[in-house]
Amino acid sequence: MKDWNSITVDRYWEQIKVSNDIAIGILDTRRDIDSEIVSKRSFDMTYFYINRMVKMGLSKYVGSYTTVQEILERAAKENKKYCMVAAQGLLLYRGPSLVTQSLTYAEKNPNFFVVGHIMDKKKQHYLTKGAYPGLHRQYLFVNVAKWIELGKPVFDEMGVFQDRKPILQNYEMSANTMNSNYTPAWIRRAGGTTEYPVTSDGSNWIDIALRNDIVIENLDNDMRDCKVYLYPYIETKKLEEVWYEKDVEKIDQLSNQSQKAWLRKLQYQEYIEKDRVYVFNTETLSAEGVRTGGKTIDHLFTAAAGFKPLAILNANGFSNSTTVHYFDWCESSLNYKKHLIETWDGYDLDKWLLEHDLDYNFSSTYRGNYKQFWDQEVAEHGGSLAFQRLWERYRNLRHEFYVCDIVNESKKLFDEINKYHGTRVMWTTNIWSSEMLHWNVEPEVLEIKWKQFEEQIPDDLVLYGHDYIAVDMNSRVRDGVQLTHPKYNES
Amino acid sequence: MEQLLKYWQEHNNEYKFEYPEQFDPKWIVMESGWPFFKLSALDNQPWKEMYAEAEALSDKFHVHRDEYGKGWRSLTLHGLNEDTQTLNSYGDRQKTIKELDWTWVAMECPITKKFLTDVWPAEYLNRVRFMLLEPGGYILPHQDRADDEKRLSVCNISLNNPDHCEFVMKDQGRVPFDDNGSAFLMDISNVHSVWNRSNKPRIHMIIHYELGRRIRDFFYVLRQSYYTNRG
Repeated sequence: MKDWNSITVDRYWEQIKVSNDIAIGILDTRRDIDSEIVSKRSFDMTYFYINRMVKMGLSKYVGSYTTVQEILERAAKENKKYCMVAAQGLLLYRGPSLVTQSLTYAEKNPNFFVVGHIMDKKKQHYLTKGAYPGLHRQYLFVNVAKWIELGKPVFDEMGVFQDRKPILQNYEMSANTMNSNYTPAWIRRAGGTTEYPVTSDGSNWIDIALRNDIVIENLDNDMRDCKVYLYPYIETKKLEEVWYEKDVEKIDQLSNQSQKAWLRKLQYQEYIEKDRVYVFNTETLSAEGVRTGGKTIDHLFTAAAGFKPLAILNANGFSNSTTVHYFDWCESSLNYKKHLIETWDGYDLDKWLLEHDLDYNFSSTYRGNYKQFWDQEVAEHGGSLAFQRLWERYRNLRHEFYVCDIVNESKKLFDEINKYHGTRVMWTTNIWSSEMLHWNVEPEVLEIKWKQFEEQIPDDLVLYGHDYIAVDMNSRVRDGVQLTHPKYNES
Repeated sequence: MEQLLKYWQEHNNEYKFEYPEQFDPKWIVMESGWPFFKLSALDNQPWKEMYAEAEALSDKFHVHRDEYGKGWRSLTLHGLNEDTQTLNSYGDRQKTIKELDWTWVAMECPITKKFLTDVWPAEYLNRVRFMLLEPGGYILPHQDRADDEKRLSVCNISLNNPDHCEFVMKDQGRVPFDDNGSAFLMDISNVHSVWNRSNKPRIHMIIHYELGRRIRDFFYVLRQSYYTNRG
């Protein structure tokens, strides 16, 4: 039901009514990543998904640090109850869902210390043969109060010992495992202690928890489905080669399944994005409200996606002489709009879509769910009759169409906008803050392009859409919310 | 001398490394069979300053293993005292380990101590010594570990290494220590010998350590060095 690829403010989210109790920080692991490109870009993309969660009011970003304890200290300072530690390269692409699941877990297990990937690789991994179990550093969900109560233990990295072998609490692990045979569902205290010559990341946290009779649980499968870890330190050069040039044969040569699956997904997404048509919007239709100050819209400059342009027209008011100017880098999206306006009567869009299903590459989210999405669309527009009346008025307006990549050809867009007078409105949806754009272009470059775009915005242009870090464009340009992204080289 | 000359004629060669495409720290340390490995990542350390600190204490060094060497002296920075011998020679090793600490020598050598605490990538230090070999001095061929314990382990750092002072491993070759300072991991299961045929004292520092929880820091130094060495 959800289009996870392009959400910034998602209309299809269940009502997430959670307090902002979670701090989230990036664990800087660049020391272990043998490629500046992969290291920086994995940091950028980890922040990209965190930014979504922040903009949705679900968490507070507390920065990037090389140790877990620094992140937890920051969380404590911010008075957050919980802390998510995300190693660079962790892509929380369903982060909001992970937040809700984690908070539910915390509510049911108030005495918990940490939820993480319990690793018992003593048989499999050549470096940790014979090791005490640990917690994979890619992701930790920590109860900050419990961490403080336990004496703020540092999160030990893996270790090898000859003369100073640590004595650690014996343990019992679940027979059932998550994902792999080295990832038990839980670990709990057993009697006695044993000396270990090898320890894993976070072994000391397990030891401390068990000594305090705290059970540590693994992430369940639903939690696991919310994220992907790129393992940026594994086959780093190969990962670097396919980061931008997503050659299928090279992607298939990646031996890390997580990297391979994610890159394949991106490669396919990039391939279909070229002529992808968004019938429905993934963002809320009218959360921004009326912005024209009571004036009817004379010219609407809008991305060719979904029915949000109608919602903007309807909310602000329009007349028979209003012109709708569609711009999109994707010509198929413009053709779809033309086709729909010419041939559709405003009823039963699901049937129209099924009839033309092979003519367009409709977003994979909706294929097979046309009726369901259409029903929701109609409901949000006030019912079938209300929508049809709006559609009839809308389709009789003058429509103009421009193929334009607003990120790289912003002048072309503003040259067009500046030809017109009256009440002008622009909606750019999440073009600037979309996943593929951020994967392919560094945020520093996007920031420069954004500023070039921003400089050209006329003073009287009414704004809808987001800037490059998903700040409402109106807030940024008119209200001065000039935020930036965390810089890799300054973290 | 004849024994040394013969040894030098047979083994004073350049060692040829063959680098695999993929960096694998465990392979390098445990399986490569390499007799030594340069920690090039440490090339920019203040070796000259550390040399000056050690040289200033040259009259404090203790004669070391004169049974198979000449002009070989040592001074311990971290150990039981300024003249710490191999740790196994003190009885209960665990008890000995717990008693290890900085000696007065480290207090006199703040730059060296800072390197050991802030830069050297291991959690624990065992014995750390300056080793001085006088002009004309030598250490006869010997091995410090059994043949079946092959691995790169102790770190030998040349704080200086004058021309005509050479460290040679039997069947392997010469360790290319740099007079400006250089750090090498050594496989001391190889028979090795040092001969200082220069007119200057040569001072090295030997670090015995336990990686503990700093294994990733160690791997980082190893990886940076690997790609530098491989070119």
